Amino acid sequence: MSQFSRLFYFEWKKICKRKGTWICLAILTAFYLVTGIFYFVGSKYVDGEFLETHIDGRDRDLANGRRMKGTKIDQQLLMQIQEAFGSIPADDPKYQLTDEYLSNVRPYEGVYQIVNNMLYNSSGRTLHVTEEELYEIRDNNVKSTWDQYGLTEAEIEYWKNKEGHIEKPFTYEYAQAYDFLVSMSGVYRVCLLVTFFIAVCMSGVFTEEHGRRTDQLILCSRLGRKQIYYAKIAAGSVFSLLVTVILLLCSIFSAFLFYGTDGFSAAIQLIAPQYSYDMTMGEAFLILAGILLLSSVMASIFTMILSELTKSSIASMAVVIAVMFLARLIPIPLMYRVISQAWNFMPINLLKFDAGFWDPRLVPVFGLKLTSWQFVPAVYILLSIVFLYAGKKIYCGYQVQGR
Amino acid sequence: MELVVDRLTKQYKNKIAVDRISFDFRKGVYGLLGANGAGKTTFMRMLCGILQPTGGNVVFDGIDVATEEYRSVLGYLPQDFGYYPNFTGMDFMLYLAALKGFGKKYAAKKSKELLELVSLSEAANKKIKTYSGGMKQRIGIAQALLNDPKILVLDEPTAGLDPKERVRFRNLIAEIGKDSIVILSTHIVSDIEHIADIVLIMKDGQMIFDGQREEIKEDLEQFYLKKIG
Repeated sequence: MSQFSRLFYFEWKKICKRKGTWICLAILTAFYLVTGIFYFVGSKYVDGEFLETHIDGRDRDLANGRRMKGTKIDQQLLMQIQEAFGSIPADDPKYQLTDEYLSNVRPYEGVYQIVNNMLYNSSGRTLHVTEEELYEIRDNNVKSTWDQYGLTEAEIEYWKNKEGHIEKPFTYEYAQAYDFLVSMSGVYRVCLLVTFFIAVCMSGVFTEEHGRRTDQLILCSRLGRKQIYYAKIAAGSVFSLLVTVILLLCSIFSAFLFYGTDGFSAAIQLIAPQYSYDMTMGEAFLILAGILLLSSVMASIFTMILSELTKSSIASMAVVIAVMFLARLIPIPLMYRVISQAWNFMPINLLKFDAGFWDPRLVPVFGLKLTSWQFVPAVYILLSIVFLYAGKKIYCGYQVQGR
Repeated sequence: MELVVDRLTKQYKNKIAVDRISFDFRKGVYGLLGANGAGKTTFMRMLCGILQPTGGNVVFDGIDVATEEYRSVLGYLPQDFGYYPNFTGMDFMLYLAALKGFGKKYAAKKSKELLELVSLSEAANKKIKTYSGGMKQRIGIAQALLNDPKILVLDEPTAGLDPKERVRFRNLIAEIGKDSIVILSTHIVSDIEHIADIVLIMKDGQMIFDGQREEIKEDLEQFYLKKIG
């Protein structure tokens, strides 16, 4: 076993021996178990009347979705939806409880939601729209989004080119599991929980030595400067990465267990109709997951270095959690292009699918135009290296005094 | 074997904690006496490379204090050293052995030997948080000896030891002092009397006395009290 791996082992052991680590993990596990149970227990009610259990609802939607797999969202399907909705008693507020709804309309519910999304601000037209109108409205919404973000001519050209690769009419596929994973309940929720975990558990990796006064023994040892610094960073980062992977797997497991594994190859436009990239839901999820893993390493390095700089685990915890909340709560107006684009690169924003991920503004790099999710991995890696280097200077320059 | 301290100084905003101390240490046991605030701990921290001096330098056989090579021959027991409560005694020793650059097998062998030397073999697999004050001090001494140091710096090493343990400790230090430089700071004058070859007295950051123990004809405590005024 190399010397570095021995130091890594002991730093890992220290993290594992902390009560805070296990309390935090227990809270996260309990959270996942409790919220996971909600999917399986409980029922849906309409105006106080029982409709179905969640499990039964899932089974119906899954069966309907699989039956409709591969169906084009075209004029024929739109007419079928309109006809089905026409069979519902118009003035019955509890129409979802009627046989007409369950047998005629329910099978189209998934597609209906997609069409609604495509119509965006014109959703009142769902039951009257033709195929031509539907895609025209969708295209107008796309262009309106480009205007809203203030895209340059070159960027518009780029996205027009990408639009050309998107298959129209869209093809329906049941993809609830992937919708779950790329939405607030999936990758985004893991990001929030992991940030909380990192803030609480990684802020003590360096400060513990000062608090316990073991820093004197470490700093006067042969490997007590550079090597132990890297061992601490490595142990903290790998631990954070492992927790991220576990929570991500819990999300995936919950999604697949409840919704089934269908939908990897479903077009992303089924949940994000205004997005012009030719990508599947599975690909989007994998990209988000990859960015999440990178961001967890970066965040853990940042937290550890901040704690060494401030010599306070409370301060670094507070900063990390504050940054996470402020990044979500403070919107930067789009007219401040560079700042708002950079703000969207923060993990808490980028991993929110309908915020940072599908931001159409591009980043020019050596003649190439990169989307935010293409550019950001390099940013996170670079920042991790910068934090690592800065942290080494801070740690190795530490002087034991004043006690 | 020579540890050269040349005009070593540590100045803070309002105070000079160590004031241009120059001294050459060779093999033997050096007893460092001084009142609280005299600068002993600051001086020792600079000798161990964990506190950067404002001026001067420390060199051992041509090796500067701020190098890995220097730290590889150094053993240090701080006055207020810390530990990991949930580590066992053996875990603690193995961790520090890893920090000193030892491989797994050698670390295990050496840790076992040292724990036996300080009478902690039976408590080796118990968590340090269950140790008494004396046991914690003994494990501190043991870790300082892991790398068979050529420079051994001990700050108040006998605090918390009972009389029997203190005698064992003195004998151990005397033995180590035959082949290494041992610098021992303490308020317990009798420790210096029994084991130090050379007595150093610090006052207000300066070395006001250094001499062989034998040269001090009177009671050491009286001599010390006279020196510091």
